[in-house]
Amino acid sequence: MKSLWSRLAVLFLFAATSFNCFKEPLSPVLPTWDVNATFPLGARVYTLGDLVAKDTSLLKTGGSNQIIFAKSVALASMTVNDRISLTPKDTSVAMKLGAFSITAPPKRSAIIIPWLVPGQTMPIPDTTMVFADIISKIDAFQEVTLKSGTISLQLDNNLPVAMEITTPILLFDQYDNVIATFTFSPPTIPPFSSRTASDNLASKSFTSDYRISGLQFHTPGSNGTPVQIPNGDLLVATLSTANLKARQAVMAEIPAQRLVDNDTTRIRIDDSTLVKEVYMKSGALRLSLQNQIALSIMFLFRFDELERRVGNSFIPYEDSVFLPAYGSGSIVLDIARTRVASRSGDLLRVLNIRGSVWVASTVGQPVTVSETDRVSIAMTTASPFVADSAVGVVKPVWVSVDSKVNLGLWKGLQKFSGQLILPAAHLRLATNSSIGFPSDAFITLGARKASGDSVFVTVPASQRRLMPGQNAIDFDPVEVGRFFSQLSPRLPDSVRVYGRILINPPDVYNPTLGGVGSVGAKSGVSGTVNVSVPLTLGLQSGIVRDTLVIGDTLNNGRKGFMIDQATLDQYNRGKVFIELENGVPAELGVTVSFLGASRTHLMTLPQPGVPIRLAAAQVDGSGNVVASSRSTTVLELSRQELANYNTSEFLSYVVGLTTSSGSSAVQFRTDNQVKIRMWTQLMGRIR
Amino acid sequence: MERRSLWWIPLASLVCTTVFAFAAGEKAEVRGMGMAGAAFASSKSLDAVGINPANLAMKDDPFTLSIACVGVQAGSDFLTYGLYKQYFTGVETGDGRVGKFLDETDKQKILDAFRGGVGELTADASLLLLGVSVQFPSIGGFAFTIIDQLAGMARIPNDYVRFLLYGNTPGSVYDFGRTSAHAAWLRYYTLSFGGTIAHPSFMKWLALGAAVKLVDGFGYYEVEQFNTSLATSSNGILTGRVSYLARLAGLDPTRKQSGFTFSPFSQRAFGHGTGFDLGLAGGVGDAITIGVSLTDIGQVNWEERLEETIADTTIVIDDPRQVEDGAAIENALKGKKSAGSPFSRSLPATLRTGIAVHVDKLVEWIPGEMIMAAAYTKGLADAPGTTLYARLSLGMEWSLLKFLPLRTGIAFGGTERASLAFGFGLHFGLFELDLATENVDVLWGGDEVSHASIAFGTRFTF
Repeated sequence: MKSLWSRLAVLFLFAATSFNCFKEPLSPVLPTWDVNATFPLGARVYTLGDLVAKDTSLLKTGGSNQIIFAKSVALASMTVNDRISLTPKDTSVAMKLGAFSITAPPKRSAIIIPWLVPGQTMPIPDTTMVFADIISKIDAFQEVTLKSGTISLQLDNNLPVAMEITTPILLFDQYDNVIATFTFSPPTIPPFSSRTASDNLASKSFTSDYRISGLQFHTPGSNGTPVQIPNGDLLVATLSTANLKARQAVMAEIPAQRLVDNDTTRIRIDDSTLVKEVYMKSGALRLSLQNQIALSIMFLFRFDELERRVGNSFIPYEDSVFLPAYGSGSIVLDIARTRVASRSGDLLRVLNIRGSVWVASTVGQPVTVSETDRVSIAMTTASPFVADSAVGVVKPVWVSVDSKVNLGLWKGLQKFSGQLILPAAHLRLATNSSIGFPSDAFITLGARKASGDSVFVTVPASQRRLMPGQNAIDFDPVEVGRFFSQLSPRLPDSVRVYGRILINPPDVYNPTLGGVGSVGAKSGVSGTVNVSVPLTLGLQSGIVRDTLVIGDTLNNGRKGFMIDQATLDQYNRGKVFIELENGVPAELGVTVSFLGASRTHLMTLPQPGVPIRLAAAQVDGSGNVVASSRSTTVLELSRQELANYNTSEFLSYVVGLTTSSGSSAVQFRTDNQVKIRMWTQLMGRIR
Repeated sequence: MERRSLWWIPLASLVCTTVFAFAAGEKAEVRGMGMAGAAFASSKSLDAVGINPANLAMKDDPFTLSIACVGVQAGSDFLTYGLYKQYFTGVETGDGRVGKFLDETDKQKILDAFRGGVGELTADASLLLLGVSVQFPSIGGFAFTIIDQLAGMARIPNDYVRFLLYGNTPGSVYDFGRTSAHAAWLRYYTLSFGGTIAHPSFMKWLALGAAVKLVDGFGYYEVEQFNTSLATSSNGILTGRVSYLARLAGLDPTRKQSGFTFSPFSQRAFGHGTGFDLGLAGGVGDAITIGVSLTDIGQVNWEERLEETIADTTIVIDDPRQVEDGAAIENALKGKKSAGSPFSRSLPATLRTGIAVHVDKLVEWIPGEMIMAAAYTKGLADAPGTTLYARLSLGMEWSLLKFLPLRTGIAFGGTERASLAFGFGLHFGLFELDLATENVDVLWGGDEVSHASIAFGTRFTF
């Protein structure tokens, strides 16, 4: 007991002491660190049209710096969709059965030597023996005409003395036709040995009943020495066949066999797209088969050029159908998601079909089977073959176009009414064709006059050709001027673009590898309709103001967020980035002001009266803009500016344009753009 | 050494126990927890249930009854006490403790704490509602238990922390795509058996055990896909991609009017499943036992009250004015809820193997009974309640006084990089009481501490 208490005392002393080491964790105190916050302030795109609409003091009458009203509107894409197709011709073909196998079991016949008594020991004298013909029957057929095969006769000598075959042994059918001649070489069969002789049966016809004749043997005997005559058959003839392929046979028993790729036939597909490779979207092919063979068969067929997807690869399309003897059957092949591909890399004009026949082992009434027996196949298109994409030569195909384009001409031009020079109007169709073949655009633009009549302008014949990629169709200026003049004074807001596009027109259609292109269901022609009308007005230097809400994320005309003062206090540095892109051929000056809730001025960047200046856009020799000028200005914000930034509700842009009358003439287009983007990067310490 | 009040220890334990009081599993195996999980080869009777059913064949009390054993564990594998102490407790100044300034090295050290760039938060609680074991010397041992297990795990990529630490500098891309979460509340009705079989000559005995489990699922939640990112272009354009798929089976207790109620013995199940345990145990001489087991092979089919939340949106903010719908971002994050399809999830299949040595049978001068043990544990399914990280445990139980077994152990791996365990029991004849923790270093603030755990159990033996 004392021991127990002493152990307890030690334990509790240890436990109590250990609690001295226990520590309460320190209370959490969040660390501080420097962090960045980047977010956009605004992005604004002003067209020259917008700018002059906001402040018409930019406009002047006559003189230099003429303004061209310009409008570009996207054209609804015209896609090929399901117009690329294959149209296999309905075809009737026959596939032959081909040479078929015959398997005949070996036939064994014992040759009796009556004067030798099995089991006895006696001398065998030197003797020549002639035996009667062996008459028997091959069970595999009744009559046959062979394409190939061999027949063999094996002679087994079970005697203790040699046997010499003195004459060739002949095989006759029931009509005494010689089927085969067996010549043994060497002619002597040693004691207890065998010899085999063979003959070729190719192209031979015979019946199943046969006769083996010429069984004449000579033995030198045992030289007077008594020898043991063995029990059992002393001399045996065994007739066997190998690799029998029949052209025609009358058979009661047919072995199971598969006649692989025994015939090939073709479907022509060259009446539409000449295919190098095509991925099918939909389609079905019906095969109606008539078995003209006196056997029930499983007919298997495989397309060389039509493949179906298995995982990520394609394998030849194959299927099978059971056909009873002299019966019929049909099968519909779904070719959706299949591929038709040329094996050789040339253009494909036919689909090759390989047929195979599987015959089950049959026993019954004798039937006559010939290698020319056939399966008739009628192939018809159950539903059209529509391509998803194709690499090949597309025969000329039409694609319809009919879309309404909202140009907003009335809305855009009414403020310039009376100042339009309509005879000099220009109309261009800028297209982008993803069709891998040349196309011809037979397209007309139509618009309705205020009176209700319609007027039209057609793509000139010289402008019809669209090549793959980007193209520009310029309408005849005289026709365009007449078109707009007829519509004047109230130009319509929308025009109708309609007509047809002929893909791979006959003059460029080239049914060789040189004419191969790519096209898919989603290929098509997209683009823009561009209208430009010169005005009698010019542009002069001036400024335009615009005010908008900062971060109106709720779309209620008020700033959608505000950083609380405590958070803002954590940011001790900040930058504002102002990115300008000037597509107007006039020098640009921009200042940005931050306004409070009641539009009170808080600060102006970069400085009041000191705008960010950006050179005019680059122009070509004709004065048309070819490249915008760009700049990015980084402005450091002081703490006061940071505070002003937070309380600001509105951004006020002042955009100034300075035209220089002394320089070379430039073209001002109302779709010239000025882009202003602003974003801020705040750097502060999280506390 | 700094001494502080210890008031928070029982409070934390109470909070954990309260939070997870309706759940269960291995964590309710108090003796094992005291040995850091090393008790695998030496656990007997009810301690062997869910660990290795073959151990039921080992000789023990003829009848054991246990109720209300509770074990809880929670923590992360990235936020260790050392990291917390270094960066989140401030620095001493004349004005008291102020927040530590994180320089580039500090930020990198915090980010490097995420294993492979992803941290895991785990919480696992078990409640043994009822356990009965009976031993027949001629047949073997049977046990029937009802155990609730509530387990959850969340994987958090360190890009969240990177975003907090660095902000969205121009050109930055934050990919939160490796975020995932699983949580399940399961009840296991387990019938286990272990019996001896013919043994090879070098062994003294060999036992085979198996258990069949019927599983009721009371709730399941997972975030299966989370392809979410935030990119800030070099010119300040923000591109946020939000794409995730979350599944809920059962009722969400955090949602108002969800209809969720708690009823310990008539809780409505929304998923059902079956599971199996298989085990092999053997003795080499009198002093050494070894074993291997595969537990929780099976799955739960969740079939009722299924809900899927799917989001797939990309938001590009160039001009804030263009964000016309102020709720667009909020709606994108919320996703769209729809009725879900039935699905199955694996039970937390786990492979264990271990060895135990009864040292007092080998070294005579050792007073009392001493067992030293080692175990290897590896989760085989990415499921709540186990981890794919392997764990090696070394432990000891010393009954210097027969009624006061003391246990300790150390484990490496698993959801924790290293943990130190301690436990003890008070065994008064028919009644036994055990208490343990796998994270005793919480008490003295070891730098590697990243989890907290505690288990408590009572037992009547006859």
